[in-house]
Amino acid sequence: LVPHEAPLEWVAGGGLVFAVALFWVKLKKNEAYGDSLVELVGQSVFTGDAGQAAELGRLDNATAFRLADLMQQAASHPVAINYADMLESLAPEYAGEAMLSVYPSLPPKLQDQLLLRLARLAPSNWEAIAMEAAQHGDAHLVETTARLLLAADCPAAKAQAQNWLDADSPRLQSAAAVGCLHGDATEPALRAKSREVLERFLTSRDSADYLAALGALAAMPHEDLLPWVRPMLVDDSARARALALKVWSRCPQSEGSGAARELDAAMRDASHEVRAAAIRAAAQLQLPNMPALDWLGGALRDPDYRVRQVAHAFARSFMPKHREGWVKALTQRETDFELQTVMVSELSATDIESKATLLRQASERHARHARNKLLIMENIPHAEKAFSQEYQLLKQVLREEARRHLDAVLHILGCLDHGQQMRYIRAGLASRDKHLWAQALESAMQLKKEGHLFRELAILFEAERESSPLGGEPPAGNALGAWLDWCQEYGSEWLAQCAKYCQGKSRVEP
Amino acid sequence: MNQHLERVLLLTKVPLFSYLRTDQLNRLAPLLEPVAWPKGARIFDMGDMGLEFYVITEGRIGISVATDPSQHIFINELKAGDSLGEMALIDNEPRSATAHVLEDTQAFALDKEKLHGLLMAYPELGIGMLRALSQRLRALTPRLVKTSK
Repeated sequence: LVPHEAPLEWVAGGGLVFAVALFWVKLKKNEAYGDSLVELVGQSVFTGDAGQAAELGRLDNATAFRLADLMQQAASHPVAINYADMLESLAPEYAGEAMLSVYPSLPPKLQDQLLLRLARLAPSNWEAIAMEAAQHGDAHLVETTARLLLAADCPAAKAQAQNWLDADSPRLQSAAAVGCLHGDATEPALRAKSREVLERFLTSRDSADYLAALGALAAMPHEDLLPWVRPMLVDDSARARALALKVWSRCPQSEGSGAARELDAAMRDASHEVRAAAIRAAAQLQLPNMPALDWLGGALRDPDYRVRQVAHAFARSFMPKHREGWVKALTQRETDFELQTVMVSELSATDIESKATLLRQASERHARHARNKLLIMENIPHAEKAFSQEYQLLKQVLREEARRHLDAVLHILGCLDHGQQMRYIRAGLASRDKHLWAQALESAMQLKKEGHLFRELAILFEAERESSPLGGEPPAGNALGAWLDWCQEYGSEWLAQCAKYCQGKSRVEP
Repeated sequence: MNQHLERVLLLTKVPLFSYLRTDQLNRLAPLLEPVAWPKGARIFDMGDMGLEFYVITEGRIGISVATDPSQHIFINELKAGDSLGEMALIDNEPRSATAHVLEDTQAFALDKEKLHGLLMAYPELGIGMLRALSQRLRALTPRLVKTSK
């Protein structure tokens, strides 16, 4: 690019101008990038998915501080926390300082929620600012500050430790005691007193005392207190049981004998809070012989949506770790539809080499089950007593299960399709508009690999939706009794229950 | 028929639950409390606080908005499969009408806490409730038009 006869000064000057221009463009680009990210974050575009936002790139120092200003101006606490999440993901190196710059002017409740992040990020002087803020904060903020600063061996907090341990509030006493136990440089006398405080509260009959101790320990578990926490797993208070589970599952000694039995009991607890804590605890403990899929399946079907949410969030921890485990799990739990859906999604997200084959095999099995159930349903009208209420219910259950198998096939095909084409096909197939449905099916059949499966699906959908005859022989021959046996063997628990009832009814009324 | 399965079967015929599958009804059925009233009884009066809502399984109920609850002037009649009392449980306002039992009636009752739990567990139930409420609104519209004329 540079002519041979060009003077050296010209070349150097040109290079300098070019470098300055490039630097200026880069600065402007960073500024624009920062602006757009702040704008997007401000509009909560990335709400709840900090990991995804982190993939977009990092924020510079100035933008991080602008984000912290926005956090200060946020209309609600969840939005402010969203900013904090973004700061931690997008600018981990500046997040602590940026948060600390606005921390004193935030409301105490928000300070309370941010303090753990500050402790984690540990920007310089955070202890002094937190200590100062606690002087003007509410009781909760003082408790959190005491716990975190004592655990961080902050000298100013240590000077207050004795007062906190002698305070009137069991919550403040417990928080300070837990903080002292976690501090590496806590004096032996203070450590002993902290243990004594927590032991006293954990053995107290007053719920305010033991809930205070359990609450502080749940935030920062300590294995030394486990012998006093464990009996709380069967306490009358659901809150105490849930907190005890949280503490117990986060201590390394927990994997002792009887742990699976205690977790199993907690999974069936009357309180949703305990059931949610139990599934979280099981995910954390990873006991060697725990019935992982039984527990997860139960939690995914839980009548309380909060338990289901926790089960979905921790599902990955319960999944098989190798190919054989997946084969067994997918075949043995075909009629646990909620679990099957989660397993399929999780398997498709793994690096297991043969996952596509495993998923295709599972989809073919589901299609076969759908066909068998529709065939039995189709043939029941020809059977004796077919019009009795029990058989009407049985037919309805068979239809619903066939539909769920078909949905499972579509879900699997969706997971196999990286081009997202299947998403549109699935939406079309879910439509009640016949034209849209037919169009979606037509598109599906064009897919090379899955074309044959879609042709089968077309027939099955037609049979399920329009009751058009499938033809062919139902599984296990042509006798009603054999179909009822088949339903009990291959159907879900609910289908088996209905079939069993019909069978009992047939015996009583021959 | 087995009492539980019978209850599930009954629920399949209630429009409110029509968006739920039978396995969901199987889990929901034990939460419902069977209740019964003789002909002539009043289930609730206008202005009462709403604690429960009901799904009629047998019988007939007249809905009155007369200020005197003993008056038998009905704006609507409910039969098996219909539901009543859900409005007060959703908006926490007192009952907007009086419910008179016109024939011996049997129903399933569901209290507020359980209803809220079920709505969280089975959002499809909310769609069923919306459908029932909008059908009721549609049924009332011609009468309103007639009254305004």
